[in-house]
Amino acid sequence: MRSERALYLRLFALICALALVLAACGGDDDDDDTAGGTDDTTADEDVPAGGELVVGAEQEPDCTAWIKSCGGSSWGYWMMGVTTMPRAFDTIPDGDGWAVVANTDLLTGEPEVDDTNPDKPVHTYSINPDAVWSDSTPITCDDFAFTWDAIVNGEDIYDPTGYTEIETVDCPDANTVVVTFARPYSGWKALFGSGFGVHPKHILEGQDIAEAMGNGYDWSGGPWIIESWNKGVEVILVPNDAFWGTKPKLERVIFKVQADTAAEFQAFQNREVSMIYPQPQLDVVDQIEGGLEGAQSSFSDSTGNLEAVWMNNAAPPLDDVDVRKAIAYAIDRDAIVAQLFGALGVDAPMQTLNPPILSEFADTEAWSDYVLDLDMVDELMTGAGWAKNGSDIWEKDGETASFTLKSTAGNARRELTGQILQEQLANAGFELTLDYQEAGALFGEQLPQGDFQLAVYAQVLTAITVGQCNLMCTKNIPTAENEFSGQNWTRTSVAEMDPLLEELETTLDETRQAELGKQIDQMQAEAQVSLPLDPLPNILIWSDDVLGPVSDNPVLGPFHNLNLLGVAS
Amino acid sequence: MLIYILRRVLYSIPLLLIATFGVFLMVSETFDASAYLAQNRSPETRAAFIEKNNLDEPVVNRYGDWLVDAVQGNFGETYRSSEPVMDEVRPAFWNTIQIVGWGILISAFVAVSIGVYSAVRQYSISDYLLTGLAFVGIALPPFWFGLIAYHFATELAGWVNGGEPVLYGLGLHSAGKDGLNLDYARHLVLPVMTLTVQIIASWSRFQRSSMLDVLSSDYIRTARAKGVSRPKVILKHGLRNGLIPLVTIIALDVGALFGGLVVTEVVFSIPGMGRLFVDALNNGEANIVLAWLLIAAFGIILFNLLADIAYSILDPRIRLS
Repeated sequence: MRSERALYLRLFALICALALVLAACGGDDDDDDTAGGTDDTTADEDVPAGGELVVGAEQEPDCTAWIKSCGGSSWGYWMMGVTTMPRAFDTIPDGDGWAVVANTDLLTGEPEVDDTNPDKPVHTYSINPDAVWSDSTPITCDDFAFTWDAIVNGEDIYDPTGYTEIETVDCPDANTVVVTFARPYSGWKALFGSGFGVHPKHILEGQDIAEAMGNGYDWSGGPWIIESWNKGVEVILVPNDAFWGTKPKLERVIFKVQADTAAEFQAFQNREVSMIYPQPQLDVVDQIEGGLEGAQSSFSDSTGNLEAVWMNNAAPPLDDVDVRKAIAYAIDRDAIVAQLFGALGVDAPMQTLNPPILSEFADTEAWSDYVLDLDMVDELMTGAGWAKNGSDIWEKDGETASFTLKSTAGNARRELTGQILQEQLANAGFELTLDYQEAGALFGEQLPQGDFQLAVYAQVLTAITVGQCNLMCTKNIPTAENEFSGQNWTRTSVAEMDPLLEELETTLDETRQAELGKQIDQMQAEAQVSLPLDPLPNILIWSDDVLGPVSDNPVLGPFHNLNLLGVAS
Repeated sequence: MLIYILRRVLYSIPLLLIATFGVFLMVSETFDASAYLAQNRSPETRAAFIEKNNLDEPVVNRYGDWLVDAVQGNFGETYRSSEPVMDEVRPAFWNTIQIVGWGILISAFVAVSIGVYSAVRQYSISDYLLTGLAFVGIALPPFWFGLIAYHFATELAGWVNGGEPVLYGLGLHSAGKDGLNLDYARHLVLPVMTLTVQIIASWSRFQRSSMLDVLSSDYIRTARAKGVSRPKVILKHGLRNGLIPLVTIIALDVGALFGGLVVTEVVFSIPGMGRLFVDALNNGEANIVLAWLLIAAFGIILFNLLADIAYSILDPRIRLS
């Protein structure tokens, strides 16, 4: 009898425990004080010194030799590149957009541009005499020359674009860098700036840079120095005592690697990390809508990202501009963007194929006429000789207007985009099949080889450099002859646009750049070469414990000003 | 027994050759290691990458090169970072060993206890309850259970520790810490629980079934009739024989666990063998996949052998030949 009563008591206790678990798993009664807008700063607070900040990192780089092919990781650059590499230029807010200006930690001011010989402009940089590496060796012109040489003459380089346009780097004295270009290059402010920065000659000369820098490095020319990088686990930064600019307030910053977004949010709620920068996936938007207790957030649609419905202009029937236009009129882009990012306040589609950070050099209304208009679809398709068949699908010469849309597999946001497009196009008489591919196969083979009709993916700009010749010039269409090496995957070929694209690449006058950019946008919209969708907003979330001017930067990333941040004691 | 072991090892060599070639072929043909360079990089960069890693060579040649190096203990370099493959595999293996090791120990102890208890109290309320819980446990997918457990840990922190974490879900140590200490234990609870919930559930069912068979044997009745106490009969005579089927299951599951840890490792950010395998596969890192395969195969062969040996120790009637 006694044992049976004990058994029932234990059973009751177990049921209570289970009920507690279920209660915990059930409703989320967190107070929602997450900013729904674009609150991006707590700047005016008195930021205390000391403490450590733990940040959730969704990715880590393959290596930290930034100029090498393994170093091309955004997260790697944001965590360790921006914080340790001296750079000649910064990207800063400028009105509604962004501007690239001299980094006054490293340079004394804007470089002087001498275009006496317009075919070979000469740029002169003046280095801040206070600038030193972490071992107190001054940062000099030799470091600029070494960096240029390592990129141009090195092996397995991530992307030498721009550096190959430089003819010479001369050093009249230690603090003066004279860069002579072989021809005008509009993207010159991306050089020695974001991405690669400047490398220390006295440390790296004669060494294999991949080996010397690949697994982290113990020197720095920025406010932070890498204390350790335990791959797959964490990166730890500590202040660089020799930094001559604004010194970090925190004692250390720890980036904890967490690739799973749901678990990353859980780690944030469990106070294991105080700052996260998740990709704008659907579950992220849901989590933010649901509320994050004790947190602030910033959503920015002023990014270097552009997601679009890319069209293979050479694949029938998309080689007919009227068909491309009809598809554009069949799609309600406002509805798609509102569905994907409306909760973040981003509900207007992109109207240019330039990312938002280039809005100054783009016609941001070029595509605005392409709104849902089924009458226009009928007019264009009928005019092009198409007629609807018994299944209400457009048909011409026995061929139906059936397309395949490719995108990357495992991305819920893109899958939802595909489903909406499928439904909208069906209403307009187009048949759409969805085909999700592994990223490597899609970007490595199918797109370069033209094995697609429609594709949804994002182009990401990592520096403010105008010009799209690599993506839109006829000469850059990948073919069997050039071993599919060009990057004009959409096979865009607008004869009158090519010279403008090429001029844009070699024009240093920003006014002319803006004129050309707008003209090109209008031509692209007129030819409806592809259809811009959304700017893929950046999302930054941080705990109330984090103090200081937290802000995102579309080029330098969310940790560009870590030296100004602190944590509540 | 030594001859038996040698024979088992020799038999496994052709199997490994076939498996490694098959995997090398599939990984090389399916995943393009240079694909990540295709977007936003110069074509020259990609071409140089392909040349550097001999990716334009016929797959048979590349496998041959790998095999020659592998038998000399050199598993090559990673394509992307040019690091020795073993530098990637070694820490991942150690992380997985920790999770699997603790998981097996805890699972075996709990599962055997539950199985024996259920068998001894067959058809009691507690037996029904544990049986029901076992089925619930088997049905719990780790990706779901892991996140729910993590969420529960967060709620727990709110109740008992003012919101500061009680249990951790990021890695095996806090930043800059290592060693066997409380911090380590607080990091282990959630991943080990996630890993073991299904294992405990299924092993406890095996143990219960096995114990029921044993407890109904004549020699158990004889032992009881001769006056041996019930606990001694159960623990000394019953459990020893009742463990034999579970030992085989455990040995086989240990090998399988290496590959099945992906979800636990991803959710709790543990850079172990499961995560390494998936990342390597996605990146077309054939050398890492092959090293992983060899280690996993070696583990399976080893634990199968251990199962056989343990079998003969637990049951002296069994002789290996």
